[in-house]
Amino acid sequence: MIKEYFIDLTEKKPGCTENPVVRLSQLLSRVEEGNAVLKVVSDEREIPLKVLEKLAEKRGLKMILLERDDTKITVVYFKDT
Amino acid sequence: MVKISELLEQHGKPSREVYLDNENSGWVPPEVVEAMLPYFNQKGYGHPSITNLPGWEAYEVVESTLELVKKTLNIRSGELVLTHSGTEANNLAILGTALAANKGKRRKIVVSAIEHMSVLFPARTLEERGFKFVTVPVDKEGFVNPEILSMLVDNETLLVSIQMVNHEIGTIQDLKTLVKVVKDVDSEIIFHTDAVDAYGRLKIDVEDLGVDMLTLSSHKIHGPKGVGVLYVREGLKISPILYGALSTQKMWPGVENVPAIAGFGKAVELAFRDFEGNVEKMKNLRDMLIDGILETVPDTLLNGPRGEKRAPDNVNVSFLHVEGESITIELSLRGIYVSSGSACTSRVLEPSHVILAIGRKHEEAHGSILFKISRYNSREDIEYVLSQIPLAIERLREISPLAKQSKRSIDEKEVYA
Amino acid sequence: MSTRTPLAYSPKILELFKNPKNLGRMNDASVVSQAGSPACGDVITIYLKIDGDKIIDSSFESYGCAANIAAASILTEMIKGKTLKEAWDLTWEDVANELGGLPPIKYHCSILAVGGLKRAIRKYFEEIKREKPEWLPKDLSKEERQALEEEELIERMYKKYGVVP
Repeated sequence: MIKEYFIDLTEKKPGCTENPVVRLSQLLSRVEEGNAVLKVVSDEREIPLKVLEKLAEKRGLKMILLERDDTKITVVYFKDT
Repeated sequence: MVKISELLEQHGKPSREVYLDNENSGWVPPEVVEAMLPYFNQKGYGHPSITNLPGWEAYEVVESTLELVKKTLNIRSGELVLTHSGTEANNLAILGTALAANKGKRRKIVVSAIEHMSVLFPARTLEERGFKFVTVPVDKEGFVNPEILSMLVDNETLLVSIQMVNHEIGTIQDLKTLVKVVKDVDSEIIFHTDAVDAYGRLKIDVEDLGVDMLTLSSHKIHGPKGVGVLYVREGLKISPILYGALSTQKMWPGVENVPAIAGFGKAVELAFRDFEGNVEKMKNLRDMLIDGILETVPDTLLNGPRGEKRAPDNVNVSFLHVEGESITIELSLRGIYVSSGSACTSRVLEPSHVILAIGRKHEEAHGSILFKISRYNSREDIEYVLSQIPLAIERLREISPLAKQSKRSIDEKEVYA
Repeated sequence: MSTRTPLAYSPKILELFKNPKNLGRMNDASVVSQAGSPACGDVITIYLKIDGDKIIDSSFESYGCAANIAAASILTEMIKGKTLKEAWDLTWEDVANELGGLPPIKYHCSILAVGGLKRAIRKYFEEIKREKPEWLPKDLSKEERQALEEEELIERMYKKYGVVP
C-alpha cells in the first residue's frame, strides 16, 4: 500500500524534532523505500524550488511542481519505478 | 523522595569500568588537574584584570593558554574570546551577530538541521525578533550539500552556522567548500562553525577554512568543564551578550575561570603532543568497535558515515527492538558508560533530532547509542565492551516483545512464501 | 526553560530491572494484551492465566526504559492471586508507590502497565467469557484511555503537523 505523506515547511514547531526540515529528511527516506509519496508545501523565499529539486536528484527520486501561488509552492516526491 | 545514595548502592561499583560518554563530558587526566591546582591557592588566585602579583599571574596563564590555542588553529590575527562554556560561545556567536546587525537588511540566519542545541535554540529565538530562520537539510549520512547550501543563502543572509563535526553521528563536513560556496554568493555573509567536536581530532586551520567565527569547549578535549572559546575574525563586529565589569576579554565580562583555563591549556597541550598518534589510535579503536558490534549483534544500524569522513572518536549504532535508556542502564551495570538518542533519556520524550534528520524512524532513534572514544581508551577496553554488548542487547531483547514479534513475522513469511 | 537532571530512580526499579520477575511469554495464558507503541518507545505485553475469578499466574514483556520494565514486572507480582475485581481496582498510583515512587516524567510507564492490565481484563470478559460483570465499567478507565492516547500520540502529532506516518 502506498502511503501519502504531507509536510508544510512553512509551519514552524517548537521542538527540534518537529522542525519541518528534520521531518522532510525523515519522510524522503520513506519515499526512497518505495512505499510512499510525499507532498511538500514551501515558501520559495525560504526553501526555493531548486532546493527541492536538488533533494530529489540527490536521492534518485522524481519531483513535480503541483501548484504555485505567489511564493507558496507545492511539490510531490515519488519513486520512479 | 528517592535517595540517590540508595540507588548508587543498588547499582554497585562495577569491577571494570570503561568510560565512553566523552560526548557529554570527559574524564580529566591527572596532569590537567595538577595544572589547575596551584591557581586555587598558590599563585594566580587573584583577578586577571587587577594590577598586583596574583592578578599578573592569573593574566599570564590566561594569555599563555590563548597563545597556545591560537597556534593549534593557525590563527594569525583576530581574537579568541574566553567564555564559561561552549554553549555560551555559540550563543555569543549567534546572538552577538544578530545584536550587532541591529536593523540592517540582512535578516536571514541559516543553520543545518543537525546542529547542537546551543546553535539551534539561539538561532530559533531570533525568529521572534524579526529574523528569518532557515534550516538546511542533510543527507542520510548527515552531510550538507554545498549546492543546496548555496541555493539557501542570498544577499539578505546575515549568518550561516554549520558545525565542523556532528556531535552525535560524527559526520565531518567539507567545511572549506561550504564556506566557499557561501562566500561566492555574498562575501559579507558571516560564517560560524561549532568546532567543539572537531578540536583535537581534526587539523583545523581557520585561515585556510575561511570561517569568521569558531567555537571550542574545554571539557570535550579532557579539560575541565567551564571554559569555552569563540574565535572572532579580525575586523568582525559582534556585540557582547553579557554585560558587567570589564575583564581581559572584550566580548565577555566578569572574572575568568582561571584554574579551569590553566587546566584547559594543559589539555590542549596534551591533545596536540602526539596529535597524529592520538588520532590514529582513536580511529583504530573506533573501527574495531563498529565492526565488532555490527558483526556480533544482529538488527543494528550504523548512524553516520564510515571511513575518513567520520570523526575518529565517534561510534553511533541503533539497536533495533530495544530502547536506548534501558541499554544505557544495562551497560552502566556492566561498567560501560554511554548515552542514548532515545526519547526516554532526553526527558522531553522527543528522540534525537540528529538521528531523525538523517531519515531514521522514531523506533530506530529510540534504540540509538552513542559511544565516544578517547585516546585514554585501550584495545582491552574495547574488547571488554565488545564482550558485553551482545550479552546486554540479548538480555534486553529477551525482555522485549518486539524482538520476538519481528522474528515471528519473519518466520511466518518464510512459512507462507 | 526546563531543567534536566539524571533520573532519580528508586533502588527498587534498578533491582527489578536487573532481576525482573515474571518475565516472558506465557504459552497457556487465558488472555494477552498489549499497550503502547514502538514509535513512542514504550510497549508492554501482559499475560494473564485465570481460574474462575482469580488470576493464578501473570507475566510480561516490555520494550522500554528501566521504569517501564520495572512497572510491568511489579504489576504482575501485585496481581497474582488477586480476583479480577481486585486487580481491576488497582490504579497506576498503586504501582508507582509499590516501586518506591517514579519520577514524574515516567508516570506514563506505570499508566501503560495498568492500562495493559485493564485492557486484558476487559478483553477477557468481552471476548473470551462474553459476559460482563456489573463492576466492569462501560467507559474506559483513565489508564486505558491514557494508553490509547499515547498510542495515538505520534499519529496525532503527524496529523497536527499535516503528516500521516
